[in-house]
Amino acid sequence: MGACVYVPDETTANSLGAARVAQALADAIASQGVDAKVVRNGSRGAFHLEPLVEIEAAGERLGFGPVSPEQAAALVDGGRLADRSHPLCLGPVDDIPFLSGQTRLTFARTGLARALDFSAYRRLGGLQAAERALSLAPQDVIGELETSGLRGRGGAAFPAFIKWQTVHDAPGAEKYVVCNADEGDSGTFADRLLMECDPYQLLEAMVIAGVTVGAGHGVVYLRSEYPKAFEVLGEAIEQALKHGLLGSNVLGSGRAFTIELRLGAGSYVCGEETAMLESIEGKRGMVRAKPPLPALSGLFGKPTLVHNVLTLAAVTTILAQGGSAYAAHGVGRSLGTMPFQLGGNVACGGLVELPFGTPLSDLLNQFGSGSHSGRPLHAVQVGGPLGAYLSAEKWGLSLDYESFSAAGAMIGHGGIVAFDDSVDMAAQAQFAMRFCAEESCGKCTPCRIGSRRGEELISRVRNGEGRSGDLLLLEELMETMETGSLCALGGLTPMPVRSILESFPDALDLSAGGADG
Amino acid sequence: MLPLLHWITERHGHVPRGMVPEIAEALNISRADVHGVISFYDDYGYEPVAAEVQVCGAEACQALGCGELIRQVRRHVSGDVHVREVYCLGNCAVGPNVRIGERIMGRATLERVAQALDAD
Ligand SMILES: Cc1cc2nc3c(=O)[nH]c(=O)nc-3n(C[C@H](O)[C@H](O)[C@H](O)COP(=O)(O)O)c2cc1C
Ligand code: SF4
Repeated sequence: MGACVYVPDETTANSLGAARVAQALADAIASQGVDAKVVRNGSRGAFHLEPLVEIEAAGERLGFGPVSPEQAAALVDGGRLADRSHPLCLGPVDDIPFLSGQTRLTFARTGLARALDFSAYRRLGGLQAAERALSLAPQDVIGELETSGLRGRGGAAFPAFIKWQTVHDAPGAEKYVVCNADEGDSGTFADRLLMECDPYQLLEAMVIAGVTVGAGHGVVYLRSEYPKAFEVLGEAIEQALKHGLLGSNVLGSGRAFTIELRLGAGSYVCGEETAMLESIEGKRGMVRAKPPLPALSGLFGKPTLVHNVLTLAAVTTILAQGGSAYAAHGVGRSLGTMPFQLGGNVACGGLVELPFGTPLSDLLNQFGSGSHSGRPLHAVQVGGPLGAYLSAEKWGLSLDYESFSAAGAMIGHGGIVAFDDSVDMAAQAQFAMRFCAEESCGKCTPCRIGSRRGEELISRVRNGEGRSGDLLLLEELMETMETGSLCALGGLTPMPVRSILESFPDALDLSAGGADG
Repeated sequence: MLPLLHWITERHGHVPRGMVPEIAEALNISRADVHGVISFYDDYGYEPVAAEVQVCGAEACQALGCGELIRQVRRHVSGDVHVREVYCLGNCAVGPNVRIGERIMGRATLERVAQALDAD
C-alpha cells in the first residue's frame, strides 16, 4: 500500500498556505512517480506548526512543520518521501508535546482523517453515542448528562441536564434544538475547528439532543465570518442525510431529525441566545427579556434547547464513555474537559483541551511557550471581550469556573488572549467600552449610552484631560451597566475595565483631577 | 429574511434600495421592518462595495499590532477598495488577520496584503 501524505484543509492552515503546500506535494509526487497520495485532513489545532504535513508510511505517522509552500516540494526528494532525518521532522505526530500533553475527548478525532469522510468517522468511534442514546430511555440520557456534570460551554456555564429536562418536560409536539455557532469572542476558534474538522460529531450530538427532548428539527446558527465551516457543515448535513444519520429514520430507529444551517450577518450580540432566536426568525437581533426561558418558549415560541457547539459535542463523549468517566476529569463543580484556545501574542497558539483545574500558567508556559514577539508577556485576557485581564500575579489561577468567578474573572468560552509588555492597558479598557457601544442591541440605556459615556471618559483621561470625580463617575456608570442591563453584554463589559483598574493601576490614572475636586 | 438578504448581497454586492418594497411584499412584512434588519446587521448595506479588505480589529489581533496594519492598509489601497475593520475572523492564534473575498490570510503584513490585492 502506498503512503499517505496529509495536509490540513482548515481555515488557519489554509491562511498560512496549506492549499499551496498540498498542491506542491501532489505535483512532486506525480512528477517523481512516488507511490503516495495527498489527503486533505482536518487540523490538529497545533496552529504554530501549520501547515503541518503528516506522512504516514510503514505504520508510522510523522509530522513535518511548519512547512511553507516553498519548502513543500522538498518533502519529496529523489523519488522518496521525507523521513525522520528531514530538518522539519517533528517525530510521530502523537508524540508532539503540544498534543500529547492534552486530554483530548471532544477533539480526539480532529485531524486524523478527512473531515467529511463518513466511514472514517464511524471507524474512529463516531456514532457509538447516538446508537447508545437511541437504545436508552430519554430520562436515562438526561441522567448521564447529570452524572457528567456538563455545563454550558458558550459562556454562562449553566448545567446542561436542567435545560434538557425542561425542554423534555415541556408540553407540545413541536420543539427545536438550536446550536449556537456564533462564536463571537475574539481569541476563540474551537467551535470553528470542530465544525471544519469533525462536523459529524456536532450533527450526531444534535440528533441525540433531538431524540432525547422530543424535537424533530435542529438549526445551526453559524456566523458569516466562517465561510469554510459553512461549506463543510453544509456538505456534512447532506452526507449525514445520505448515510441515515439525519432524515426520517435516524440510524434505523424510526425517529426523524433534520438540521438546517443558517448564517448570521456580522452581529456580536446575536450570540446571545434570545437575540439569536430573533435573528433566526428573520428579525433584528434584539435580546428578549427572560422569562420566558427559551427552553419553554424559544424559536417561534416553541420549547427550544439552545446549546453552544462544544456543549453539544461533549454529549457524544458522555454518551459513548459514560457520564461518570467524563466527570472523572476536572475539579469541584467544573467537571470534564475544556477546549481552551490560546491566541494573541503567543508563540505556540492553538487548541488545548485540558481538564478543568489546570493552572493558567501551565497553559501559557507549557503550551504557549511565551510570547510570539519574544517580549515578556504582560497581560492575559480570558473569556472573550467581556472577560477580565489578568496580570502576572494571577496566572497561577486554576482554570475552573469557581476559581475564576471568585477572582472577578470568567472562563467564558475558553478563549485566552496573551499580550506582551507593549500593550497599552488603558487602550484596552477604552476598547472594552467601545466594543459594547458598537455591538449593543440598543434595548437598555445603560448598555447603549453608558458604554458610550465610559468610552469618552476613558479617552479623555488617556488624553490627559481627566477631571475631578472621573473615578466616581466611571464607578457609577459601571454599576448602572451591571445592574441595569438585560443581558451580559452590558452587564459584563465592566469586568475587563474593573480588572484593568485593579490589576494594572498605573495604566489609567483616574485620580488625576481628583485631589483638588 | 436573512438568507434572502445574503443571497441578494452575494449577487449585487449590496442590497439595492429599490428592492426593499419587493422584499417586504415577498415576506409579507413592512418596509420599515426590512430596513430595520438591513441597518442592524454589519453584513448588509445599501451602498455598492467594489472590493473589500477586512482587517480584524479584535483583541487577539490587537495583541499583534493590527492597529498599525489597518492604518497601513488604509494608506495603501486605492479609492475603490473599501477597508473594513471587522471583529474577529476566528483565526486568533496566527494574527494579525485579513480577509479578502473568501480568503483569510494569517500573519498578515502590508506586503502580503498588497500582493494579494495585486493578484486579484
Ligand atoms: C453578548 C453575548 C454574546 C454571546 N455569544 C455567544 C456565542 O457566540 N456563542 C455561544 O455559544 N454563546 C454565546 N453567548 C451565550 C448564550 O447566550 C447562551 O448562554 C449559550 O448559547 C447557551 O449554550 P450553552 O448552555 O451550551 O452554553 C453569548 C451571550 C451574550 C450575552
Ligand atoms: S445589555 Fe445591551 S445588548 Fe444586552 S439587551 Fe441590553 S442593550 Fe441589548
